[in-house]
Amino acid sequence: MPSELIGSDAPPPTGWSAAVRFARLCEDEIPRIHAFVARRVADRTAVEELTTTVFDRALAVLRDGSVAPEALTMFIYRVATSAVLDHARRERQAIPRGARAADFDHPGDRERAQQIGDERATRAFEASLDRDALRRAVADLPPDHQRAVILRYFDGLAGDELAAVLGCEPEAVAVQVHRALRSLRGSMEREAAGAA
Amino acid sequence: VLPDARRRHWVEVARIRPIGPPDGAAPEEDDDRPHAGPMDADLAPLDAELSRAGSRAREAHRSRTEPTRFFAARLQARLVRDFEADRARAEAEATDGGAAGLISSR
Repeated sequence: MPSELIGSDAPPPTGWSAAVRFARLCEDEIPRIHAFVARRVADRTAVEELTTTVFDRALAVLRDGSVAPEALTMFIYRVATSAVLDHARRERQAIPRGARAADFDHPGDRERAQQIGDERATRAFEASLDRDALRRAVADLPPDHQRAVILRYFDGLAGDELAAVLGCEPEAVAVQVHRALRSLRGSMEREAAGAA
Repeated sequence: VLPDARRRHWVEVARIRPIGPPDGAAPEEDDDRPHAGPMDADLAPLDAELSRAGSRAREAHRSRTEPTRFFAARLQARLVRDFEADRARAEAEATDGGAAGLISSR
């Protein structure tokens, strides 16, 4: 592997071998996926295990050709989202190793498991907001709007990656974030009007 | 300390990329059309405030969310090694298959 090709700012030239492209993707995405997971999972060992699982899955789908290389980043974010969700499920109840955690879901379990990771990230983001009114407004957002705000502004996701995590079409991402911002602003305006 | 080029690379990777919100002239809750234009002017200050807060939050949590260099390097090396081994195996199988086909057709 030519070391000078890894870690540069330049986009991958078209003549690069598949292995170099894959190495570049790993170098770009391992820190981002690790950070995405770490914002939602407290235990560092678990974060490393989940990150490893995500990239092993990515390698497996490249191997069997079920995901095109150009769609791999989206796939990685989708898998990371599921991995965090499954981790929360396993924290809530004992699930045999190797079994699909989702198979043990009762009604509402998925939402509660998702809430665990979301709450962690939301608390961390709220702490960085200067205005109390904005902090309260973020805390009071409906879960889907709150999620869009955290993913967009705390995780810094946009476009295809944000769509993969939100489970929507890339074209709908801007609409979701826009609605979340309108909801946020509406909440602050209502609070201001109530105080006046 | 990371070399400058690599630091610039990660800063670029972590940068929030702009996205396009819907047209502000449309009813806010009924607008499902995708857009790629600039942020509505009335939401831009809120967008900027949240972006700044997000940057601060990522920076504040960097030490906890950043992988150790050992973990990242080891995982990357192992994945690339496995990837190259898969490709070598696939190429060898393709070559063997071709040779076997050639022998059986004779």
